[in-house]
Amino acid sequence: MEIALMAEKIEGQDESRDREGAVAAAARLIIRAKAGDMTAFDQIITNHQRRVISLAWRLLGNREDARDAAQETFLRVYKSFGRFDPAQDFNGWLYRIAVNVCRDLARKRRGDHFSLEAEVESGAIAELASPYNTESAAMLAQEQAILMRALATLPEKERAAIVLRDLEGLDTEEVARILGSSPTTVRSQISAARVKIKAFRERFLKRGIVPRA
Amino acid sequence: MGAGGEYPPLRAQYGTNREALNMRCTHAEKLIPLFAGDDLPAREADALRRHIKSCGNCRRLAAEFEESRDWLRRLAAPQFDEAMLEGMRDSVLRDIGRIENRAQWLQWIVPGWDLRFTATVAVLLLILFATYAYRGRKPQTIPDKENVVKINPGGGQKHSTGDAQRNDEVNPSPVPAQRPPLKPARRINENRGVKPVQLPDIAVVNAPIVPPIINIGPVFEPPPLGADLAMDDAIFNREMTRIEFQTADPNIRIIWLAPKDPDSSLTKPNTNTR
Repeated sequence: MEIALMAEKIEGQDESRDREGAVAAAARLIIRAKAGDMTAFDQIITNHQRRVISLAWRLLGNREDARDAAQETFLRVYKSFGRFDPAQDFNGWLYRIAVNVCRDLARKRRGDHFSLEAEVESGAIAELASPYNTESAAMLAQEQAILMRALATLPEKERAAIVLRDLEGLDTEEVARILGSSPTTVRSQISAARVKIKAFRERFLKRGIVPRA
Repeated sequence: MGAGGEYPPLRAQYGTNREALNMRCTHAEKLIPLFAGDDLPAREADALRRHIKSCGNCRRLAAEFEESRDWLRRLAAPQFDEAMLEGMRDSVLRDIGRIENRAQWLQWIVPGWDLRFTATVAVLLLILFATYAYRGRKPQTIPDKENVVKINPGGGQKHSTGDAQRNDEVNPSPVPAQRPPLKPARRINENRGVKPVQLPDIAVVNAPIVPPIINIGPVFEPPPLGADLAMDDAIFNREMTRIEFQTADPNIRIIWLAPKDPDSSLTKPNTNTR
């Protein structure tokens, strides 16, 4: 029993040491990239691209737009690296740029009569499980499409708040910093979004489309 | 009797509790969406947790919100394949390379090229050019607004200052920035001692019109001091008739000032029909 506890403790220490090491390595990478080291910048893209593209997809609901948004995000990161303070939280800064890029892109698309809702309606979002032809995969794809549709019903700010809080797992203060709002405003947006999503889900539950958890 | 006697207080108690429960529930319902995602401050969350333990409706509502949140969290981002991610990364690096090349090219043209400096210089040059262009287009002489005599379409004459009394002297011949609209060459001067005469309209078509400003100062210049005042008064207060003719040349206008003589046939219409 004691050995197990000691092993757990050592493992925990190793983990925290690893985390500290990773943070230090990331900070070194950022400093190098800021100084103009393209290899370091390439490494930063590699480390963060999945997260950025996923966020963009959740906000925009379209694979192509998500790719464009991620690309633009990294370009903006490169252009504004000069203003970035390495003492600042890099992930938060990156998220803020990504959210702004998505917002700009969504506005532009709205000008071109684009809407996430329309994308869902047209079936463009049912791309999730297309490689699989099983029944469960089809069900999953349908559920994902309904989820995207639920998100699409939300206003832009509420969608950004709920995506960052519930899907990206950031805490309210971080979300507030990223969105440039107060934590109270963000809480209010999150609360409103949850109420709407619950109501949306209930409509589908009544029709038997969404499986019960 | 005992049961009957206990009934009203029980009902009252039930009603009070029910009311209190409802009020708490109204408040709880607002907090539950945040409670479902652990977004409430600890104190409020504890209070709500206690309420939920005692209230079935709120407990069910909280469970529904948690379920809905779990459902939303099942939204997985699609699997972006490595080729796509690599393509995106290459594209970003290519764009950065292009930006860098452009910057280097500019550095080659102007060593020590700085974007802010360039932008500032460009803006300054633009302002200078705009000022120069504006001055080049501006007329050399701007007529003094106070001295411009405006002619109303009705035929009256007004100074732009609104000082209707001031009509003794005006700017002799200012060139206006914009040509005034063509007007019939009829003008009636209502100077003191001058009785206007209605003349037939003589319009000058398609000819530049110099503002019809006439300097009649010297004609009515008061006599110098020391002269015979009685004589001066007689001349000065003498009623004059002013007759104007506009020639074909818009720059030439014939003005004739004649003393008004009741016997003179000049001012009298010729009624001789023979």
